Amino acid sequence: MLIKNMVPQVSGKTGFKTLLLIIRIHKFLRKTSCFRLMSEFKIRPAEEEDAKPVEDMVAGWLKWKVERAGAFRKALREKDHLILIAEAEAQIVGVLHMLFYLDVVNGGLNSHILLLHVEEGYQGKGIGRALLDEAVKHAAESAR
Amino acid sequence: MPLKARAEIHVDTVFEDAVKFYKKYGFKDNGVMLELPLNRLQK
Repeated sequence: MLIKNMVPQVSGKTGFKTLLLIIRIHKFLRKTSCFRLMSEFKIRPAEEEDAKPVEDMVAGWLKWKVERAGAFRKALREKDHLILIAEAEAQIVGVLHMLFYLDVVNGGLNSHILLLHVEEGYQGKGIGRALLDEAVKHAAESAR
Repeated sequence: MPLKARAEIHVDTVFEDAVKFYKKYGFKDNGVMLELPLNRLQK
């Protein structure tokens, strides 16, 4: 709408340059935090009912199907597992699965990220980073 | 006196974009996998 209204006001080369400038500004805003603040999503711990949607999402991403929901539900009940969900527009758009284990070399509680995925249409909006932020916070608190 | 126990987060991935993402976040390649020490976050 904005582009449509602006371009006819300037003709020829100037119009084309204006259009290019608008596209560049749009791309820049998409990469910066200004745009991220406009995107609404929330990060929360996973629940039993997330098992199927997450299974479908991972199957769609990896292009191969396997029964994953059972492992998901089992991991939810284990204290050494952390599964976080990213939700946007009332649907699951991202997931992070982390496993905690004691390291006898370092002497501390280490963790391994087993899965971090954000749906294609929602990438570049800070969702992956937000999932990771939450996981790092949890790991740091657990390691104390 | 022994040093304080260390804690790290590890991740390994075959996806180049993911490697860039983790490195940008602060993970370092230890030659086997990517790791993020947590001790600097501990108070």
